[in-house]
Amino acid sequence: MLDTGYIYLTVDELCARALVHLISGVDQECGLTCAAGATATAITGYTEWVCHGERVLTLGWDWQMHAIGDAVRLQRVGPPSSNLMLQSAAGRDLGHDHTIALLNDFVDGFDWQHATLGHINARYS
Amino acid sequence: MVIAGSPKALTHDIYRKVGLYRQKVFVETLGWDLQTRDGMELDQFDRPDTLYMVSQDDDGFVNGCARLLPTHRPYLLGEVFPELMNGQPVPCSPDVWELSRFAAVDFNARGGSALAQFSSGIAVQLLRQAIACAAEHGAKRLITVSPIGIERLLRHTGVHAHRAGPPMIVDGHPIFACWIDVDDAA
Repeated sequence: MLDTGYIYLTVDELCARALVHLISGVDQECGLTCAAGATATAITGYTEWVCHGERVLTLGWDWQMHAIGDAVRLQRVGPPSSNLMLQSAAGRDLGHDHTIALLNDFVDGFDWQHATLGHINARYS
Repeated sequence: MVIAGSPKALTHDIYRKVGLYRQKVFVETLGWDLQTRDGMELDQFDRPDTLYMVSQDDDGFVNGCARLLPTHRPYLLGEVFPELMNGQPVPCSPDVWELSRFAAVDFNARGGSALAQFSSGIAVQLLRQAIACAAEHGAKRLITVSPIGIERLLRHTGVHAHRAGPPMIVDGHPIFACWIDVDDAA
Protein backbone atom coordinates (compact mmCIF):
# COMPACT_ATOMS: atom_id res chain seq x y z
CA MET A 1 0.00 0.00 0.00
CA LEU A 2 1.27 3.46 -0.92
CA ASP A 3 2.48 5.51 2.05
CA THR A 4 1.16 9.00 1.47
CA GLY A 5 3.03 10.59 4.31
CA TYR A 6 0.34 11.12 6.93
CA ILE A 7 1.39 11.50 10.53
CA TYR A 8 -1.19 9.78 12.72
CA LEU A 9 -1.99 11.34 16.09
CA THR A 10 -4.85 11.55 18.56
CA VAL A 11 -6.06 15.02 19.51
CA ASP A 12 -4.40 14.63 22.92
CA GLU A 13 -1.10 13.75 21.26
CA LEU A 14 -1.42 16.77 18.99
CA CYS A 15 -2.12 19.07 21.93
CA ALA A 16 1.00 17.77 23.67
CA ARG A 17 3.20 18.79 20.74
CA ALA A 18 4.95 22.16 20.69
CA LEU A 19 4.43 23.95 17.40
CA VAL A 20 7.16 26.31 16.21
CA HIS A 21 6.56 29.21 13.85
CA LEU A 22 8.22 28.65 10.44
CA ILE A 23 7.24 31.55 8.19
CA SER A 24 4.36 33.93 7.59
CA GLY A 25 3.64 36.24 4.72
CA VAL A 26 1.22 38.77 3.29
CA ASP A 27 -0.52 37.78 0.08
CA GLN A 28 1.37 39.26 -2.84
CA GLU A 29 -1.78 40.21 -4.69
CA CYS A 30 -2.50 42.68 -1.90
CA GLY A 31 1.07 43.93 -2.02
CA LEU A 32 0.83 44.70 -5.71
CA THR A 33 -2.52 46.37 -5.34
CA CYS A 34 -1.29 48.54 -2.51
CA ALA A 35 1.85 49.43 -4.42
CA ALA A 36 -0.30 50.64 -7.32
CA GLY A 37 -1.93 53.15 -5.01
CA ALA A 38 -5.27 51.42 -4.59
CA THR A 39 -6.91 50.95 -1.22
CA ALA A 40 -6.87 47.38 -0.03
CA THR A 41 -10.19 46.17 1.37
CA ALA A 42 -8.50 43.47 3.40
CA ILE A 43 -5.00 42.38 4.22
CA THR A 44 -4.63 38.64 4.06
CA GLY A 45 -1.78 36.20 4.31
CA TYR A 46 -0.57 32.83 5.44
CA THR A 47 1.28 31.35 8.38
CA GLU A 48 3.22 28.12 8.63
CA TRP A 49 4.01 26.12 11.77
CA VAL A 50 5.96 22.93 12.34
CA CYS A 51 6.67 20.46 15.10
CA HIS A 52 10.04 18.74 14.76
CA GLY A 53 10.38 15.04 15.38
CA GLU A 54 11.31 11.91 13.52
CA ARG A 55 9.04 13.28 10.82
CA VAL A 56 8.09 16.93 10.80
CA LEU A 57 4.47 17.80 11.47
CA THR A 58 3.34 20.70 9.26
CA LEU A 59 0.33 22.93 9.78
CA GLY A 60 -0.48 26.08 7.82
CA TRP A 61 -3.50 28.31 7.34
CA ASP A 62 -4.60 31.62 5.87
CA TRP A 63 -5.49 34.67 7.93
CA GLN A 64 -7.14 38.03 7.55
CA MET A 65 -6.07 41.16 9.39
CA HIS A 66 -8.65 43.23 11.26
CA ALA A 67 -8.19 46.60 12.92
CA ILE A 68 -10.06 46.95 16.20
CA GLY A 69 -9.52 50.44 17.54
CA ASP A 70 -5.77 50.89 17.75
CA ALA A 71 -5.15 47.17 17.82
CA VAL A 72 -4.56 44.78 14.95
CA ARG A 73 -5.95 41.28 15.13
CA LEU A 74 -5.42 38.26 12.90
CA GLN A 75 -8.21 35.78 12.31
CA ARG A 76 -7.89 32.39 10.67
CA VAL A 77 -9.79 32.10 7.38
CA GLY A 78 -10.23 28.72 5.76
CA PRO A 79 -9.22 25.35 7.12
CA PRO A 80 -5.66 24.45 8.07
CA SER A 81 -3.58 22.32 5.73
CA SER A 82 -1.37 19.63 7.18
CA ASN A 83 0.12 16.17 6.92
CA LEU A 84 -1.97 15.01 9.86
CA MET A 85 -4.60 12.31 10.05
CA LEU A 86 -6.18 12.45 13.48
CA GLN A 87 -7.23 9.22 15.13
CA SER A 88 -9.61 8.18 17.88
CA ALA A 89 -8.19 6.90 21.15
CA ALA A 90 -8.82 3.43 19.75
CA GLY A 91 -6.50 4.17 16.84
CA ARG A 92 -9.16 4.55 14.16
CA ASP A 93 -8.65 7.22 11.49
CA LEU A 94 -11.15 10.05 11.88
CA GLY A 95 -11.11 10.85 8.17
CA HIS A 96 -10.38 13.99 6.20
CA ASP A 97 -13.40 16.10 7.13
CA HIS A 98 -13.37 15.29 10.86
CA THR A 99 -9.62 15.91 11.02
CA ILE A 100 -10.10 19.33 9.41
CA ALA A 101 -12.88 20.23 11.86
CA LEU A 102 -10.70 19.32 14.84
CA LEU A 103 -7.72 21.19 13.41
CA ASN A 104 -9.92 24.29 13.07
CA ASP A 105 -10.58 24.10 16.82
CA PHE A 106 -6.94 23.38 17.59
CA VAL A 107 -5.68 26.41 15.66
CA ASP A 108 -8.31 28.69 17.15
CA GLY A 109 -7.32 27.50 20.62
CA PHE A 110 -3.73 28.69 20.76
CA ASP A 111 -2.04 32.05 20.40
CA TRP A 112 -0.48 31.99 16.94
CA GLN A 113 -1.30 35.63 16.24
CA HIS A 114 1.49 37.10 18.36
CA ALA A 115 4.32 35.25 16.61
CA THR A 116 2.75 35.73 13.21
CA LEU A 117 2.32 39.47 13.63
CA GLY A 118 5.88 39.79 14.95
CA HIS A 119 7.21 37.94 11.92
CA ILE A 120 5.10 39.99 9.52
CA ASN A 121 6.25 43.25 11.09
CA ALA A 122 9.91 42.20 10.90
CA ARG A 123 9.65 40.86 7.37
CA TYR A 124 7.86 43.80 5.78
CA SER A 125 9.09 46.75 7.82
CA MET B 1 -10.33 25.59 -24.24
CA VAL B 2 -7.93 23.07 -22.72
CA ILE B 3 -5.99 20.62 -24.85
CA ALA B 4 -3.79 17.80 -23.62
CA GLY B 5 -1.05 15.72 -25.12
CA SER B 6 2.61 14.98 -25.66
CA PRO B 7 4.82 17.50 -27.52
CA LYS B 8 4.19 15.62 -30.76
CA ALA B 9 0.42 15.75 -30.30
CA LEU B 10 0.44 19.44 -29.38
CA THR B 11 2.14 20.57 -32.59
CA HIS B 12 5.34 22.57 -32.63
CA ASP B 13 3.52 25.90 -32.54
CA ILE B 14 1.59 25.21 -29.34
CA TYR B 15 4.60 23.58 -27.69
CA ARG B 16 6.60 26.75 -28.37
CA LYS B 17 3.78 28.92 -27.03
CA VAL B 18 3.81 26.88 -23.80
CA GLY B 19 7.56 27.37 -23.40
CA LEU B 20 7.22 31.12 -23.96
CA TYR B 21 4.25 31.30 -21.58
CA ARG B 22 6.15 29.44 -18.84
CA GLN B 23 9.08 31.86 -19.27
CA LYS B 24 6.69 34.78 -18.83
CA VAL B 25 4.97 33.29 -15.77
CA PHE B 26 7.70 31.55 -13.82
CA VAL B 27 10.79 33.57 -14.74
CA GLU B 28 9.53 37.08 -15.51
CA THR B 29 6.50 37.27 -13.19
CA LEU B 30 7.34 34.99 -10.28
CA GLY B 31 11.12 35.46 -10.48
CA TRP B 32 12.02 31.79 -10.31
CA ASP B 33 15.61 30.97 -11.19
CA LEU B 34 14.98 28.54 -14.04
CA GLN B 35 16.90 27.65 -17.18
CA THR B 36 15.63 29.08 -20.43
CA ARG B 37 16.51 28.63 -24.08
CA ASP B 38 15.28 30.64 -27.05
CA GLY B 39 13.01 32.59 -24.72
CA MET B 40 11.31 29.41 -23.53
CA GLU B 41 11.38 27.93 -20.05
CA LEU B 42 12.12 24.25 -20.58
CA ASP B 43 14.01 21.76 -18.45
CA GLN B 44 15.17 18.13 -18.48
CA PHE B 45 11.65 16.94 -17.65
CA ASP B 46 10.22 18.34 -20.87
CA ARG B 47 10.59 15.14 -22.84
CA PRO B 48 8.82 13.48 -25.74
CA ASP B 49 6.78 11.38 -23.27
CA THR B 50 5.76 14.33 -21.06
CA LEU B 51 2.06 15.20 -21.04
CA TYR B 52 0.98 18.84 -21.21
CA MET B 53 -2.26 20.59 -20.45
CA VAL B 54 -2.66 23.85 -22.34
CA SER B 55 -5.45 26.37 -21.83
CA GLN B 56 -6.00 28.96 -24.56
CA ASP B 57 -8.35 31.89 -24.85
CA ASP B 58 -10.63 32.53 -27.83
CA ASP B 59 -7.80 34.28 -29.69
CA GLY B 60 -5.38 31.39 -29.24
CA PHE B 61 -3.28 32.98 -26.48
CA VAL B 62 -2.10 30.57 -23.81
CA ASN B 63 -3.61 31.44 -20.41
CA GLY B 64 -2.76 28.31 -18.48
CA CYS B 65 -0.60 25.23 -18.53
CA ALA B 66 0.44 22.20 -16.52
CA ARG B 67 2.81 19.28 -16.90
CA LEU B 68 2.25 15.63 -16.02
CA LEU B 69 5.00 13.06 -15.51
CA PRO B 70 4.77 9.46 -14.30
CA THR B 71 6.89 8.92 -11.20
CA HIS B 72 8.46 5.68 -12.43
CA ARG B 73 10.45 7.85 -14.82
CA PRO B 74 12.59 10.89 -13.85
CA TYR B 75 10.49 13.75 -12.48
CA LEU B 76 10.97 17.06 -10.68
CA LEU B 77 10.26 16.06 -7.08
CA GLY B 78 12.23 12.83 -7.33
CA GLU B 79 15.30 14.41 -8.93
CA VAL B 80 15.41 17.94 -7.53
CA PHE B 81 13.28 18.19 -4.37
CA PRO B 82 13.31 14.77 -2.63
CA GLU B 83 13.74 16.49 0.76
CA LEU B 84 10.17 17.77 0.48
CA MET B 85 9.00 14.21 1.21
CA ASN B 86 9.76 14.61 4.93
CA GLY B 87 11.98 11.54 5.10
CA GLN B 88 9.63 9.33 3.13
CA PRO B 89 10.84 7.71 -0.10
CA VAL B 90 9.91 9.56 -3.26
CA PRO B 91 7.06 7.91 -5.19
CA CYS B 92 8.10 5.56 -7.97
CA SER B 93 5.04 4.01 -9.58
CA PRO B 94 3.00 4.20 -12.79
CA ASP B 95 0.02 4.77 -10.46
CA VAL B 96 1.46 8.05 -9.21
CA TRP B 97 1.95 11.01 -11.51
CA GLU B 98 3.53 14.35 -10.81
CA LEU B 99 1.78 17.63 -11.56
CA SER B 100 4.25 20.48 -12.07
CA ARG B 101 4.61 23.85 -13.77
CA PHE B 102 0.97 24.59 -13.07
CA ALA B 103 0.05 28.14 -14.05
CA ALA B 104 -3.17 29.95 -14.86
CA VAL B 105 -2.13 33.54 -15.46
CA ASP B 106 -4.22 35.29 -18.08
CA PHE B 107 -2.00 38.10 -19.30
CA ASN B 108 -4.74 39.44 -21.54
CA ALA B 109 -7.39 39.68 -18.83
CA ARG B 110 -8.37 43.13 -17.67
CA GLY B 111 -8.05 43.83 -13.98
CA GLY B 112 -6.76 41.50 -11.34
CA SER B 113 -3.22 40.63 -10.52
CA ALA B 114 -1.08 38.27 -12.55
CA LEU B 115 -0.18 36.67 -9.24
CA ALA B 116 -3.81 35.80 -8.47
CA GLN B 117 -3.34 32.74 -10.61
CA PHE B 118 -4.73 30.18 -8.19
CA SER B 119 -8.15 31.78 -7.88
CA SER B 120 -9.39 31.94 -11.45
CA GLY B 121 -11.91 29.87 -13.34
CA ILE B 122 -9.13 28.94 -15.72
CA ALA B 123 -7.17 27.45 -12.83
CA VAL B 124 -10.10 25.35 -11.66
CA GLN B 125 -10.80 24.03 -15.16
CA LEU B 126 -7.13 23.34 -15.80
CA LEU B 127 -6.69 21.47 -12.53
CA ARG B 128 -9.80 19.35 -13.07
CA GLN B 129 -8.73 18.43 -16.59
CA ALA B 130 -5.16 17.69 -15.49
CA ILE B 131 -6.47 15.28 -12.85
CA ALA B 132 -8.80 13.66 -15.39
CA CYS B 133 -5.98 13.34 -17.91
CA ALA B 134 -3.71 11.71 -15.33
CA ALA B 135 -6.51 9.31 -14.38
CA GLU B 136 -6.94 8.34 -18.04
CA HIS B 137 -3.26 7.40 -18.06
CA GLY B 138 -3.55 5.20 -14.99
CA ALA B 139 -2.88 7.62 -12.14
CA LYS B 140 -4.50 6.88 -8.78
CA ARG B 141 -2.78 9.77 -7.06
CA LEU B 142 -0.91 12.90 -8.00
CA ILE B 143 2.03 14.42 -6.22
CA THR B 144 2.88 18.04 -6.85
CA VAL B 145 5.67 20.44 -5.99
CA SER B 146 4.08 23.85 -5.77
CA PRO B 147 3.89 27.13 -3.89
CA ILE B 148 1.57 26.72 -0.90
CA GLY B 149 -0.95 28.97 -2.64
CA ILE B 150 -2.11 25.98 -4.67
CA GLU B 151 -3.86 24.66 -1.55
CA ARG B 152 -6.47 27.39 -1.96
CA LEU B 153 -7.14 26.19 -5.49
CA LEU B 154 -7.35 22.56 -4.37
CA ARG B 155 -9.89 23.48 -1.68
CA HIS B 156 -11.85 25.65 -4.11
CA THR B 157 -11.94 22.80 -6.61
CA GLY B 158 -13.18 20.37 -3.96
CA VAL B 159 -10.21 18.05 -4.34
CA HIS B 160 -8.95 16.09 -1.34
CA ALA B 161 -5.28 16.79 -0.83
CA HIS B 162 -2.79 16.72 1.99
CA ARG B 163 0.79 17.70 2.53
CA ALA B 164 3.59 15.19 2.13
CA GLY B 165 5.78 17.30 4.39
CA PRO B 166 6.53 20.80 5.58
CA PRO B 167 7.21 23.68 3.21
CA MET B 168 10.78 24.51 2.27
CA ILE B 169 11.66 28.16 1.87
CA VAL B 170 13.14 28.89 -1.57
CA ASP B 171 13.98 32.54 -2.32
CA GLY B 172 11.75 33.55 0.58
CA HIS B 173 8.73 31.63 -0.69
CA PRO B 174 7.41 28.39 0.76
CA ILE B 175 7.10 25.45 -1.61
CA PHE B 176 5.91 22.02 -0.62
CA ALA B 177 4.96 18.57 -1.86
CA CYS B 178 1.28 17.73 -1.85
CA TRP B 179 -0.68 14.53 -2.45
CA ILE B 180 -3.84 14.85 -4.52
CA ASP B 181 -6.48 12.11 -4.55
CA VAL B 182 -7.38 11.29 -8.13
CA ASP B 183 -10.26 8.93 -7.39
CA ASP B 184 -12.31 11.63 -5.66
CA ALA B 185 -11.73 14.20 -8.35
CA ALA B 186 -11.70 12.27 -11.60
